[in-house]
Amino acid sequence: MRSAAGAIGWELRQGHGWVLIALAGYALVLGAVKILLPGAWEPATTEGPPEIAPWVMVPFSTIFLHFLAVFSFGLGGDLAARQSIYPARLFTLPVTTAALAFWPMLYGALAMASLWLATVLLAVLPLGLDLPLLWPGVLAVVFLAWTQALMWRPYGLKGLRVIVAVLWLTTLDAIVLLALHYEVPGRWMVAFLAPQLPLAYFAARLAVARARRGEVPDGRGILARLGKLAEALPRRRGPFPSPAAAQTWFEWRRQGWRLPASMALLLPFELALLFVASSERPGFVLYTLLGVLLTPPLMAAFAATTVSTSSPEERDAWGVSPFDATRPSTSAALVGAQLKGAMWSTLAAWLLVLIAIPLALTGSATWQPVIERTGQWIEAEGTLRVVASLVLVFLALLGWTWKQLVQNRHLGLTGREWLIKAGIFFTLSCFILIGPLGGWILSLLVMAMATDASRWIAAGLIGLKVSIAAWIATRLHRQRLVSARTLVTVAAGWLVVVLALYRLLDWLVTTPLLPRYLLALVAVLAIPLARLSAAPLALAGNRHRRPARPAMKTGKWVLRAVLVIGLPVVAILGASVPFFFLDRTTGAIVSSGEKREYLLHVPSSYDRARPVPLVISLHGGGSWPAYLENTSRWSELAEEQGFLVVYPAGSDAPKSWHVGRGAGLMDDVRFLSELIDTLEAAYNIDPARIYANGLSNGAGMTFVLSCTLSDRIAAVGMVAAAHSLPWSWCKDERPVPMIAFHGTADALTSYHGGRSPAFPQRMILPSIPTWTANWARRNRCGTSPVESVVAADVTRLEYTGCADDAAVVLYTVQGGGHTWPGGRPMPEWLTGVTSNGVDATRQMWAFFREHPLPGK
Amino acid sequence: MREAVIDVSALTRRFGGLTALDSVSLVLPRGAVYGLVGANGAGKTTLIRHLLGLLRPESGTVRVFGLDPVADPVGVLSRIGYLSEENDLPGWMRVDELIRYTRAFYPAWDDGYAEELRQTFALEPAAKVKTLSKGQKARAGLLLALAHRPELLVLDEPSSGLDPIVRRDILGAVLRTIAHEGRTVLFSSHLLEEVEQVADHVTMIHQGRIVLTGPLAAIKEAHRAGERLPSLDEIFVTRVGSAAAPGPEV
Repeated sequence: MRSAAGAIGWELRQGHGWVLIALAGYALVLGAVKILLPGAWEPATTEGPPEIAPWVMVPFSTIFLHFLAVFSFGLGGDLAARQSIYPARLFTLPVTTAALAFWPMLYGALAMASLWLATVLLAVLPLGLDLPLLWPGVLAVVFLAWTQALMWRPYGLKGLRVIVAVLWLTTLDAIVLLALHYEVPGRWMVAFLAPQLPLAYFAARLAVARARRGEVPDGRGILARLGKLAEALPRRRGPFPSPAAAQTWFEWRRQGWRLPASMALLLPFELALLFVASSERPGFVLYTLLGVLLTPPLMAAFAATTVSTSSPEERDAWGVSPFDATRPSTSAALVGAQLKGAMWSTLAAWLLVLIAIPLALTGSATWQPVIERTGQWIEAEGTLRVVASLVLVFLALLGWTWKQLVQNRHLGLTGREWLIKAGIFFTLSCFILIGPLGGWILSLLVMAMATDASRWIAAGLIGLKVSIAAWIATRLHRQRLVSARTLVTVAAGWLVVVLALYRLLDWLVTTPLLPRYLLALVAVLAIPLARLSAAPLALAGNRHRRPARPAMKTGKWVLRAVLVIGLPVVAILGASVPFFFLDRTTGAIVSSGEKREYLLHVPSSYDRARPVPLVISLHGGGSWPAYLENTSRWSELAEEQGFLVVYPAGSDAPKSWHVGRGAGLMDDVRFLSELIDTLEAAYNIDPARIYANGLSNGAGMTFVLSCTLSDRIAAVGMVAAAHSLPWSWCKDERPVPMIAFHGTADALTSYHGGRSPAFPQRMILPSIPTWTANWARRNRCGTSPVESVVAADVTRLEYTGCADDAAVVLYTVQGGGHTWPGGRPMPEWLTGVTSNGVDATRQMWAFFREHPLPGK
Repeated sequence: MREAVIDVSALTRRFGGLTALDSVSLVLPRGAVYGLVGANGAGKTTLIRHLLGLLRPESGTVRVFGLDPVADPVGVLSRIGYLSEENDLPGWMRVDELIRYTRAFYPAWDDGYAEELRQTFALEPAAKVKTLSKGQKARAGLLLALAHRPELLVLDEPSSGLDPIVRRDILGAVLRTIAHEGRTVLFSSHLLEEVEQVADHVTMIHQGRIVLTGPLAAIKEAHRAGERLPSLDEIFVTRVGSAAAPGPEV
């Protein structure tokens, strides 16, 4: 390292290896996603990038920001200060000012150019994104060059640097956006951007020269005069009533003000959207308000990650500074003051929100949609419930904000750097994983609920939380950090709040979709206990340092961090093992560019020489083929009677059939049609005896098949059908024999129709008797159906005298739930009673046998 | 014998492979000015951090006023005045806020005395701590450590922050008064001349071990060479060798 250039380059390189490690970790996560969800890399539609694109692009933009900070020396300096943030120690080196400005700018430009090259090679080209290849790279370099010039300049007032930089760079951005809007060609963009590089260099050189000479302009005179005014205000304050009050004041002044301050900065921008929206777009107004209400907890989570450092001057930056550590207070009292300070932050932030929202609604004249929506809600739920819900939601938001501020304090208070950083990485990787894997996690949850595993998971989670809390409590007691009396009071208080919350949820939540024990789980997990009580323990450990183990090597540090980052990945992989085990399929075909799976059962008696019937059985929404095989027992009957049964899988996660007006519906129809082709090619299938049936959402799909493939499907059967398309959707007039089963106590698809409890906004279901009568009209049956009793709880209604002998039959199960009559019972809390009065599978098969496709 | 303020026995502490304190035992009775001397890295600050409960003993025991500072931080810390080497007062506080905040923790806080010290030290109440010079910050820290008239005053390398005038006049006078009132002062320093001027007792620490402890006069007497009493500096060189002789901080 003989030259100044080498030294400056070395300095810029130091200490940023972790960025590369983080990037590698992220690439690993993406690689895992690519292996597990191969479909994610292909575009979902013919137009537009695949859904994964943002997740691939995000790290590159993060590194862009990181480069801005590194190459402008922004990580080491005080952005708000008047002095240049160019490191002053470099000024005394025997190097020209031009070199001081030139080398960091050159290295920065090279780094930015390589970043853009990497983005093009790793993301833009593989994903087939429609992005220009040259000028965005030049823009990145210019952006950095101006950032450097503006950062290195000394300013007359504190904070002016940030304002000037934001304004200048936003202007640059705005010009580029305008150019994009008017579709200016790429070479013009390069011609606009490239000449700015020498300009920025001269500005930077001038800035470094001024900083080197110590020329700091002074605009403080104006502020000093303002300060004098503030001095004149009376500010005599008496002594604090207690050490606790003093410490709470301290916490508020040290970090508590940050949340309300950031809210005060953000709110005007968010609420400005209301002025754009106007009353004509009620949805936009409501979404804006929702966004505003969610801002404090999100900002709190953000603020909480920045409060861990205590004193940058300390040798061990994450430790407790001697000033804090020598407070004559117990560690529990110090933590208590932090919790109280966080409470004041929360209240101040929400006070701002509560004042700003009505003002903005009045100013922009957008009260109308809010009042209307509340009115509708009151009509549907009653005033008391609505008021109680609103109060509860507000308290929940308050509590959530506070929880976000304090729940990870214990990590910061340990003062262990690896733990703090790993905690931040953990949160980030969870956020990142929620995007691509959200649907998958949801289907795991649905599956857990359908197989009753959720009871055990809930019990496990509650047990885990309580036992961790108990372990912490014994440690607190043994170390005499908290008195036994306080421990008992806190535990009792926690229990009372949890029970109260459970009662309230029990009263408010009316949907049958959520079992009560899940509400209990929500109540137990929502009220903080374990992590908060860990905070005094963590602080005490940090304040009274134990003998350190031999210093941890970097490799070990990285290993631990990778372990923690990998934990969510491993957890999800672990959870998906039973998923793969249960979600058994036997084959797949490619249909409409997507891989579609199915589970086929071929009876052991199958003989290539004899044509056999084929039964297609479609699973319900959120379910999967093997589950339906298990519930319906079609395979057992197929073995006995010698026919083929296939259980195709819906698409998306959770798996479903797209019974709606979107493009997905015809994809599903095409898939099933192609599946029949595939099976017909491989097996000797009797073309006159292909039947379809389904449960719930699968039954809705069966109706669709009767209208689209009526030339191939001889007869259909439906159990607890969810008809989300209206009868009028069906334009096919060919009679199709139909047999249906429906329980009168079906809570998910009501026998008498009405709003679906699962999607009350989107789906209105028909009455089953009316639907059956419509079908009888389609099949041109006689108008007087025959009713008979087949079991104590089952009646049979048959429309006779239909065209082509296409009978229409409805079995009504008194008190039956959203279940498969005669099949394996599903969890009763979710779906209700499974009747054994009739065996839907066998009755369907008997009906199918009587109705082969006429004319084949 | 007078009651011991500080009672350390067989205290050992290692940081990784480095032994900072090696089986240190020390009993300091009430009512004197104790000087803790040693080269940089000898273990002075580590010993002081144990007295404040900031480090948990690896082996051995630490008792201050007969109490364990780790188990009972309130009982010990509320009777100690402490000026840290780092002097990490929160920069965002104003001097008057700093005083108002700190007094809440000490029931024995003497408002009159605090005001007197503030004037002597020429500290502007409205000044923010971060705008103070290094010396002024040290004076502010000293004010906070003194104003509740602690039974034990602990100063970690006060000379590194205080200018010569404060050091000679104020520090010397203040420490003397405290000792006369029957209270105790423990201060660490690598400037042996200064310790010689102020301390009654000297404890010399080298590579984590106590090499010498006792009244200053007695130590000098024991090292007498002929007519002349040796200086502390000379004694230090004889005891631990010239290679380890402390000098001004670089």
